[in-house]
Amino acid sequence: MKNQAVGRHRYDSRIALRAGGPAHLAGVLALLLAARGPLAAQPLPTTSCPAATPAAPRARPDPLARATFDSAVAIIGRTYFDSTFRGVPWAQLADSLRPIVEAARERSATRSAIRTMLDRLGESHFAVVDGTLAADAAPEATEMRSLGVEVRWIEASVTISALRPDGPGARAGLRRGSRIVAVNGCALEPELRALREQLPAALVGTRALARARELLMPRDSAPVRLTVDTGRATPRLATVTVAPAILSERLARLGNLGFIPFDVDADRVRHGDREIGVIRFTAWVPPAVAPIDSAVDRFRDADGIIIDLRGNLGGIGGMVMGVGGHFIDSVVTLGTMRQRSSTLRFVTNPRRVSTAGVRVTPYAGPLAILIDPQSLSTSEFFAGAMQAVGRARLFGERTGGMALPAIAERLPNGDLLYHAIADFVDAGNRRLEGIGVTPDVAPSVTRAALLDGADPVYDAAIAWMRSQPRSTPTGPARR
Amino acid sequence: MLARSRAVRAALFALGTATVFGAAPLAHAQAPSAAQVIDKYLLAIGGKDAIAALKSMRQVGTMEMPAMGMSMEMDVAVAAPNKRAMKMSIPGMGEMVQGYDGTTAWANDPMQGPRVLKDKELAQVMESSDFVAEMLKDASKYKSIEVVGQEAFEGTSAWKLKFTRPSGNATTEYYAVDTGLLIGQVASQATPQGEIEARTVMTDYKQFGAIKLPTKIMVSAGPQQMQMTTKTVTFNDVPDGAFALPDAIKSLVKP
Repeated sequence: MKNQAVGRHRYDSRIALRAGGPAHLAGVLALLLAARGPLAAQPLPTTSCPAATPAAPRARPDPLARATFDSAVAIIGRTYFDSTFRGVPWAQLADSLRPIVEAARERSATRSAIRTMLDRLGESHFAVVDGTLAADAAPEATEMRSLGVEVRWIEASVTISALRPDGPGARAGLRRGSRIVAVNGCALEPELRALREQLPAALVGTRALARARELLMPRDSAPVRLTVDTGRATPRLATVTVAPAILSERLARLGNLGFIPFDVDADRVRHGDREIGVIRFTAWVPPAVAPIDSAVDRFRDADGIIIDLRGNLGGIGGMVMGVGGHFIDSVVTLGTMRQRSSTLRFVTNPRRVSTAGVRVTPYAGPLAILIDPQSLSTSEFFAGAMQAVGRARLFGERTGGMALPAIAERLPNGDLLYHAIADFVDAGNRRLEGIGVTPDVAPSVTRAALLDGADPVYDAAIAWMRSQPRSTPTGPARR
Repeated sequence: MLARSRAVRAALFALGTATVFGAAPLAHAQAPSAAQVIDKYLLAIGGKDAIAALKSMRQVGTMEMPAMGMSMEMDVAVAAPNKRAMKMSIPGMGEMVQGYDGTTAWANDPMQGPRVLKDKELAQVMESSDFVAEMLKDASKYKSIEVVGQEAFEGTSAWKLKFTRPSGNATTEYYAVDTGLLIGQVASQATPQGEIEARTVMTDYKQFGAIKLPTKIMVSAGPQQMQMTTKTVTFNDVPDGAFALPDAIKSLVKP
C-alpha cells in the first residue's frame, strides 16, 4: 500500500505516532526516542528495573495515616454513584482495615489499605497515588522531550507500533514490530511476569504499557538505551541509544492529575481517487481542541475522515460534545452520566462555524474511528457513542472497558485519590465499563504485520472508505 | 473524565446573575413578609438608591475547584439594562466565555465550541438578565416571592424565601435573620446536559464603593465544589464593547 501525501505534512499510513496520554494517573508517559547509534547485537539483559526505594519505617505510626484513610473512605462514601456500593459493606470494610492503618508506619501501608477498599468495588478509575509523583511531573514548560516512538501491547509484549518519521527513534534505526526488552539495561520481563501473576489478563496490557511508558519517558536530555528484540534472525537483539528531542508533543495540565502529554497529528492523504483526512490525537485535553478543529476545517472537502484513537487513554469527557458536533448536524445525546442525585447528558454541539468564523455544516462524509485495547475512557465513550448513533464505523480491536467519569482529590497526606463519581452509559444505553466497545471491523493485528510494515486496521478503514459514495463538501477547506 | 466544566459554568452563571426579589405572602404569623426580608437585605448591602444608580459592574476574581486541584481567573461584567459577559481563564487549558447582549445569549469553551443558547437556557438568561433588578430583587420579575420558613443555613438562622419566575423556575434563598444578608441559595440551572441543582453559600461580605457584596462564594453541584473569591469590584466602568458578539457567534446568528 502506498500513500501519496498531498497536504502540508507527509503522512505514512504505516506510521501513527502517539505520545501516550493517560487519563488516569498510572502512567502518563510518552515513549519517544531519538537515536544515535546503529543497531548492535546485544545479550539479553537480565537485571530488573529498580523499584522505588522503600521509605525507611517510621519509629512511630504515621500521624496522618488515620486521617488520610478516613478521608478516602468518606470521599468514596459520599460520591460513589451506587449508594449500595455494589453490595460491598463499605463502612464495615473500613472498620476492619482501620486498625492496620492506625499502626501503619509507612504511607505505603495506608495506600495498601485504601487500595484494598477500592479493589472491592471492582471498577476502573479508582486508585490512590503517591502525590509526590504528580509533583515530579510538574514541569515549568509545556514542551516535552520524546523519543518519537510509540509502543502498544501486541502479542503479550511491549511492541513498537509506530515511529515518528523524523523522530529520534526512527533515525536510530528502530523498527515497527520490535519488542522492547530492556530500558537502560533494566529488563522488562520480571515486571511483566509479576503483572501477569497479579492482575486479571485484561489489565496486564494497560498496566504494562503504563510502566513501559514511564520507563521510556525522558526525564531530561540524557540518552535512553533501548534493547529490542528485532524479530529478525540477526541481530535478534539490539541496543539503541536514543537522544530525546523536543518534537510536537506538549504537556497539558489537568488539575490534580498533573501534566498529561498529548499530541495532535493531522494529514491529508490520497488513496487512489480518494483524499482522506486522518486525525490522530493522544489525549482528550483542551489544548488539543484548536488543532483538532483546524484539522476538521482542512478536511471538510475530503472524501472521508479517519480519527485514530488507538493508544488514546482518555481525558476530559466533555470534549466529545464539541468533537462529536463536527460530524453530527443535530443535537443528539452521546451518553449519560449518572450520579447519585443527578443525571447529566453529553449532547453534541453541531459545529456550524469554522475556526475562521465562516458558516459551515458539520462534516457529513464517511467517518472511521480506529480503536484498540488502549483506547480508554473518553476514547471509548466517543467511539461507542458515534457507533451507537450510526455516525461512524469502528475499526480495530475491542477497547479496554475503562469508562467512568472520575476526578482526583488530594488526601491529607498529599496522596491523590482518583475516583469515579458517576456511572456512564453511551448513546445506545450500553455500559462500557468492564465491557468496552466492539469494533465493526476487526482485522487481525499481529507483530508480523507490523514487521511487514502493514497497518491492517488503517488499511481496512481505507478500503471501506473507498467503497463509499463520494461525499459532498460541507464548507470551505483550508489546505 | 473531567466532564464537569459545564456544571461549573452553569453554577457560575447562576451566581453571576446574583440576587433578586420583592413582595410575597407571609409564611406564618410570626414571620416577616418577603418584602420586609428583602428591604432589610437591600439596606444591609447599601440601599435601594445606591443599587438603582448602578449602570454597570465588573467583578474580577478566582474560581477554584479544590477537589480537582484546578484554579482559574474569572472576569464578569454586567451592564444595564440586560447585558453580561463572563470569561474564565484556566492556565494551560484555555478560556470559557459566555455572554448576552440583550438579544443573543451565547457560550464558547474548549469542550463544546461556540454555540448560541436556546430554549430553557436562553429563557433563564433572559429572565435574570437585568442585573439591577436582580440586585433589587424586583418583585415585578417574579410570579411570586414567599417566605417559606425560618431555618439554620450553614449554622446561621435564616429566613427561607422561595422566588418563582413567570416561567415556573424557582429559586430558594436564605437571608440571615440578624444581619439581613443573603447567605445562601439553592437553584436549578438549565444546561445542555440537563438540569443541575447547585447549592450556594455566600460569605465574607465586603464593601465595594457604596455596595456590600459577598467575596467568598462556595457552590456545590453534586459531588463537586467550586469556590469563587472576588478580588475587585468596580462600577460604571464597563465599555459597551465588552458585550459585543465574538465573530464565531456572529456567524452562527447570521440569517
